[in-house]
Amino acid sequence: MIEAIDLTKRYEDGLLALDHLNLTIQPGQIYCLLGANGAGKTTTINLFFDFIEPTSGAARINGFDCAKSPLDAKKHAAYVSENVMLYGNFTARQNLAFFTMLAGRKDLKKEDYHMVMRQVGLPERSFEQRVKTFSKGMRQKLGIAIAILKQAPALLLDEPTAGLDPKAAAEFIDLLFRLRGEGKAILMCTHDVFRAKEAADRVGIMKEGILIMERTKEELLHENLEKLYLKYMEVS
Amino acid sequence: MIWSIAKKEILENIFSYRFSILTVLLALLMAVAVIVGYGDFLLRLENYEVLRPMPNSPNIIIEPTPMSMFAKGLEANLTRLYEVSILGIEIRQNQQSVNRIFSLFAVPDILFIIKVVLALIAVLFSFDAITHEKEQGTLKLTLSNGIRRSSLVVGKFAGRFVLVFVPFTVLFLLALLTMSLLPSVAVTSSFWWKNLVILLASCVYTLLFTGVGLFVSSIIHRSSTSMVVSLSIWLLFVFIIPNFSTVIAKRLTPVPTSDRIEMETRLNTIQAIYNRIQREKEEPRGMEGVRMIRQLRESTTRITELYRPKMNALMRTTKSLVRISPSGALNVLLTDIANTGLYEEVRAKDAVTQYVERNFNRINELEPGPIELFRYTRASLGEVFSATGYVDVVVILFFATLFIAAAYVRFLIYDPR
Repeated sequence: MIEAIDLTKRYEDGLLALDHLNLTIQPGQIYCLLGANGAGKTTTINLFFDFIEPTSGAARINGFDCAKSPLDAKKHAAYVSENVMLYGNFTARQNLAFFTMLAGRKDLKKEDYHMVMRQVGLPERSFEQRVKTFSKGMRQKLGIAIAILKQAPALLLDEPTAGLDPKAAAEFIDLLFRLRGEGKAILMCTHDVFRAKEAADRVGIMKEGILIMERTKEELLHENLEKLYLKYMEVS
Repeated sequence: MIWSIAKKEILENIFSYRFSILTVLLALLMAVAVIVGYGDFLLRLENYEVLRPMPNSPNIIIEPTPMSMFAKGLEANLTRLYEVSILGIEIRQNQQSVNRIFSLFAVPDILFIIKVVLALIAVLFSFDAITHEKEQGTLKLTLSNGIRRSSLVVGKFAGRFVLVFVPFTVLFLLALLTMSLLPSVAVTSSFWWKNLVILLASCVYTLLFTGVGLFVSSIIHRSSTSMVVSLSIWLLFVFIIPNFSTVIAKRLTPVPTSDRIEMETRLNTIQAIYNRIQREKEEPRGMEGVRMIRQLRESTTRITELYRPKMNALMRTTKSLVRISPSGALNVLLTDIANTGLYEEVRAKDAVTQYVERNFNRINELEPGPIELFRYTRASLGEVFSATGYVDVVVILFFATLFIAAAYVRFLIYDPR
């Protein structure tokens, strides 16, 4: 479970990046956080991974406070960034082996890595290829493969489909559905309204650090998310 | 976990151009240092064989040490011929001290490789240890796992250190083995011990400069800036502080120039000869020759007594100032261990002065009797350490601990965004 309780972040320069964010994402649920650049989406992710400290409130993963017990919290969460960057001189398998080792999984064999790479749709020939030759879509898939092998119950994604071609983005969303089916709690920050509507069980819109709107998938059946998003963005 | 991170650092860099180029450069420099060092040593040995003290010969010359192939230091000065005459001790220039072109274009010895090149390589391998990960975006992914930052920074440090020090150790041992097998190189247990200590000192020195790079990488967020700052620190430690220290020391502790000393000696000689002529006019059958020698001896002793304490004070001040930099301390330490440093020079001059005091009258035929054969044994490792080496070790260890601890603490609060 992913929880934000009155989560607030004010930077040293006085900028209020996140203002009393409250949200709960249950296992088997995809939550899409929509918002323009600078809305506070990445700040939220950074707080969950203890890259920055909250000014007040708490971010929790599976009950572990991300600021007070960061190592425990991070053991239960996997991270996929907008632009998954890996070690270019390592092969896809070597990257997988390294990052899963960091996640504490040392029991995996070559076959396990190959299996997960097949699962995320990476072509067979790329398994032992250096990652510096990979396209962005392939790197995103490898990022998801790392997250899958980590076997963390929570998955936090920061603009994971940005820059992907429609086919690669659709494949990526299919992967998320599969992970949701396995009971993962997924938080996806994005400004892609179309993908959010397609994938999310709940959608939240953020503006200037404040969660200004929330809708469930059912509620969105009767509303146009794109119009809703533009309406909220226009409100000063 | 730490070893896995270190292994990743090694694998990531070992096939890079940076590693290949720097290792080849190190190997070439080592080969040149061995060839040139051996050539210089043979030249000094030949000179010694010609001039070595024989029974009843007043020649004073110190046997060259094979350790000079590692750190040449003041060996060219130490192995000069000292001649005793009625004017006192006169030092003859040898081929290496006369040919000033060698000073202008000095060929690197192994000390130079350690002090300058090894430190540079350590900095070049560590300046981007953290910044590069941040720039390429892998730092956030790494830290998103339940890994302690302390394990990450220690692993990175260990990996980068191994990348530099293992190739160096292999090349150093090869150089050592080659030198030990060369003809005319008398290898004793002391030779091996001294080289083992040089290797250990190099290890701490590599740790220090890896720490410098890692520390800078943990306070700066761009690799290009980190490189400039790291290289500036390297420049400061390796060249600026040691070189300026000698200039400042000369200002703080003025010593009369050698030209002035020579001029005073000449004036005294003229004075003594004049006095002799005057007295011989008054008492034609007197002991004027003996008197003149004694007068000259007294005046030379007076000049030496005035000059040497000032010179020793200058050396002490220079050593103290040079030790502000770990590279300066390493230079002093390794030349002292190799018996080619300041400590050995003072020790050798003392030995020569004492020998001359004991034998001056016999050499100048003022009293009968055989002239003692000049014998000199260079300082042992233990003597060097108890006399001066421990200070240099403390300085190098202090700087290494300071930079490694600073890098460690700084990374714990590093912003990975």
